[in-house]
Amino acid sequence: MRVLFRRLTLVAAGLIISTTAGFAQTATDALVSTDWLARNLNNPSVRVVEVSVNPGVYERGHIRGAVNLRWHTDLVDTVTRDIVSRQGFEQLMSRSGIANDDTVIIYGDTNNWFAAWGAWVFEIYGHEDVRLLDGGRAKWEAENRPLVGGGPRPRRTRYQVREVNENLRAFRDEVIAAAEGRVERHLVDIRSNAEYRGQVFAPSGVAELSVRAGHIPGAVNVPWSEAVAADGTFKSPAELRRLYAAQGIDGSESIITYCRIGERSSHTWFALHRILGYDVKNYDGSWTEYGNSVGVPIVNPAGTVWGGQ
Amino acid sequence: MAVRALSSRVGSREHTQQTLALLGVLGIALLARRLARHELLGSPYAFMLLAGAVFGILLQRTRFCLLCIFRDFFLYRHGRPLLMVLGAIAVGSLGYLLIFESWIPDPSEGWLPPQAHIGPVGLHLALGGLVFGAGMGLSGSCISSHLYRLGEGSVSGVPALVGTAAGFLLGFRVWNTLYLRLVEPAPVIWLPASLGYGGAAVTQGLVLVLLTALVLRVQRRGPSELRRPVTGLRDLLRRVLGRRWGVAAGAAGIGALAVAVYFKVEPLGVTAELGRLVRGIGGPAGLVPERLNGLDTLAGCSTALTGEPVTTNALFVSALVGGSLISALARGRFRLVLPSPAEAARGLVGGVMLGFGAMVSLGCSIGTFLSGSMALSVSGWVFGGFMATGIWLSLRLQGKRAGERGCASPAPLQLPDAAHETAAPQPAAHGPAAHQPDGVDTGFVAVSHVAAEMSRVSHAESAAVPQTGVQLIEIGRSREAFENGHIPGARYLPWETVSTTVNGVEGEFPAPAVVMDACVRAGIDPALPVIAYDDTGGSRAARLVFALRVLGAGQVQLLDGGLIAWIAAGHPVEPGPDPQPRQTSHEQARLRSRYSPPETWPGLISADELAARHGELDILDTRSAPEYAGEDLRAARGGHIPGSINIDWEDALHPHTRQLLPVAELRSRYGRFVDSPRPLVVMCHSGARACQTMEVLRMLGRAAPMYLYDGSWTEWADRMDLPVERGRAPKP
Repeated sequence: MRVLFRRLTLVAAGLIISTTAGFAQTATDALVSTDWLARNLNNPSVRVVEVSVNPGVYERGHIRGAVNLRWHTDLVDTVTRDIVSRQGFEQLMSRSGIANDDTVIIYGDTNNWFAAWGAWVFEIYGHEDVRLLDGGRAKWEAENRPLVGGGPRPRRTRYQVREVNENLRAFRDEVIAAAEGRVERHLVDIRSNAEYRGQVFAPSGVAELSVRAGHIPGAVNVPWSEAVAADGTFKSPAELRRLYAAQGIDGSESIITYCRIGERSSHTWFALHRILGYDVKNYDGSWTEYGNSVGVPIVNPAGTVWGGQ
Repeated sequence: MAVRALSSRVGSREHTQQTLALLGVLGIALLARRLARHELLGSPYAFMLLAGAVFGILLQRTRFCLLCIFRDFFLYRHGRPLLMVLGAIAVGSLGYLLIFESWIPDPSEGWLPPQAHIGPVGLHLALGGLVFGAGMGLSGSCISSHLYRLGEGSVSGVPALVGTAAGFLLGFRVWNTLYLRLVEPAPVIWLPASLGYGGAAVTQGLVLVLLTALVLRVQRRGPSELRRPVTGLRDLLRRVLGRRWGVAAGAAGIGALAVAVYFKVEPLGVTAELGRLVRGIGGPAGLVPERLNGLDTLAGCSTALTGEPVTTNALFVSALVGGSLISALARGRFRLVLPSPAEAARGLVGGVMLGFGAMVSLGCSIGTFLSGSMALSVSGWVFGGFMATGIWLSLRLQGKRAGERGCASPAPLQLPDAAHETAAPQPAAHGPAAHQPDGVDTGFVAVSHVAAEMSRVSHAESAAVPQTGVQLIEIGRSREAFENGHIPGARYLPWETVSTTVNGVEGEFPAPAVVMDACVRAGIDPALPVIAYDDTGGSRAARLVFALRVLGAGQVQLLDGGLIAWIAAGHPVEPGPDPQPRQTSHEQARLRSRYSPPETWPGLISADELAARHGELDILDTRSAPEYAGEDLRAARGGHIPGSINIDWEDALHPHTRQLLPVAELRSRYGRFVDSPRPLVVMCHSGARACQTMEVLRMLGRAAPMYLYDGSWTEWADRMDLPVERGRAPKP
């Protein structure tokens, strides 16, 4: 109840400021604008989190007060190929000075992909109020907003995960069932069209992690980038609704998003689930797991056969 | 007139170079602006471009060539440049510590600071360091110095850089084996992780203090840098633009730059782009393995292909060459130097070793040694230690010639920059030497020319040209006087080297082989130019010149006016002991082989022969008029040889600066001896002053035979059988 109240006041405050200032200082319960964040940096209930993938990006300069969560190690379990464990997440939050009822604003480099992964993990572990900085690090920098170096030394909290939202995460069996038509799911492949069509095994510059090319049967292809405007911010809810509806994704059925390793699909998961409010799971095993699975059907329009050894 | 024309021509060339330097600065500034505003690239790229240019200028101005620095220490026990390296690491470590402390609040948590060159400590560093160091010794410098010398116009580095690329290829080809055997099992040791920041700082500090103490202990006290107070803005500008920078400036500059680039973009390094280039070309060609195990996950100069149009390291390295070019131009020191075939071959082979060493060590003397040690990583120190060992081994194997390669050695002429002040006020040019800016062998060389030569030699250090240094020798004064103050870079020979008592006669030459031995011990190479000076205006130094010429020295000259003129011209002197070279017997033998000592001294005439040929000879007595007359009695008898003519040797000199008088005046005074076909005997009291007059006559162009009567008055006066005349003669 307290959290809900705080959410409402934050939104209200954002709306009041935006109307008085005359431009987008908005905050919804999914996204905050750079303007909004700049004005709320001193807000004691707002915690800023950076999840970037490039080393040294956070250390050289980050939004004042932001804590650094490392995607490769903090937010995943390197032994079980899983997301961070419940206990690990609690420790991570406590160490980072984040309390259960804090408003967490996540941002990061590379189009907020890894920040969106972070938001997904926060959501799975039931954090009440987690939002993305719309446009991410790139927009903040493009607007020449200040960054600081050094690291904050947060005051430890005692974070407790109260519920785990299993329904935000798809596993292989469910995806295979969807592919074989045993369950009704809308599958959204957010990779590039060349990957979707099986022309390439991976985008140029990244490792080929799968021995098969193509996509999951029944999946539609809506590259993640179509969900954002030129400045990297999400398109308006109405535009997003139209975009996905054109591919038959209208929220009438449960949706599963996937990509190569699950980080870009977190971004689309965020658009569909957090902005449009659809029932969406992210399949973090993604094509790396599915494409390598034995005895599992795929669609490969290009017919490319793996030539490695 | 000729002098003026020459100097204005030189001046206009410098002027052109300085204009080009200014254009270069503008060009880099404009490019940086474009990069900063570039949609995809932006400020890190602009920053690395500027940092590269600054690094190039720093390397060029401080002569930060790690080969020269270690070689000077190993061969000549010259320690100051090495202190510059240690100083840079100290400054860098402090800056890195500040950054680390703010980025990784608790170093024990297991996080390594992002991008810092903290690599595994394993045998691959020993292999890489040794090969890299040896490659430095063979090719004439490390990779960064080949790059900055490129900016100075030295094309000699190109074969070495081509070799480096080949070495990288070789390294990539064996990497997977090396990785599995040596690299992967090796631990990454970051001092703060186990010692905390305080403990790491203390440990690093102790290492630096110990190394500094070692250098100070081993080094011979070389000439210290002389400091004159800055006299104004113009002077300050001239110093910054025109001179080599000191050790402290080098240490502070390189340390600070290393910290700045790490803070802003990535650690200092010069090989990443080269390696990337090799991977980019060699990969598709099938020359580089498709997969290089673990390579791109290790900290160091990353050669991973980025797919970007340009990398920060490419900009940095290009700007390094550009910065060095600008720096060389600003000083009017750009000079195209082509390698000889032998140099090119050595560069190529040495370059392969450089490339291989840098590849397997994940960086070179900059990326692994400097950036690693500054990051408090054990890997940096280990690589540095093995690199130094490699240099040492390579120098040992190359023997004496090692000192002549790459950078000029400090041994012949150690030049603090204050000595380069060619613009210092000069007394009016008197003698003919002043008109010999090109150092034509007239026997005399002007003080201003030597000062200019010093600066040229210090530049030669950079240009990777073979040794052209001049050997400056002081003789005649006491060692104590020498140690109290001498011309910077001079070596000392005691007067006894060329003047001893033989058969009871004082002031005679020791046997030629004995003189040669003394010169060999002093490290005088007869194949290189020698300039001798004393504090009398040449009477002592001229005797050494006489001896060295007989012993086969190619170019021996007197410093016109010697120490007196040097000081009068405002050039600095400096205290310190004679920098005696440490030589192996092998090196001594090699040096000795370059002399050609005769059995006895040619060009000398004995008392008996002089008496026998008295009628057919002219005799020139160079003592003072009172000595000649017998009024100033210094021997058993006073007076002079009958028929001898008296011209006091000092009559050739300006009374204050001790420089030669203008040629016209000298001609009028000595003309009859210059043009006479009759053999001439020159004498004085013991055979020193006479040598100076002989040099004057030689310079004026005397062609007929000329003998030194080495016994001179000390012998003649003692020989009671020989006739003596008294009284002043009418001066000629």
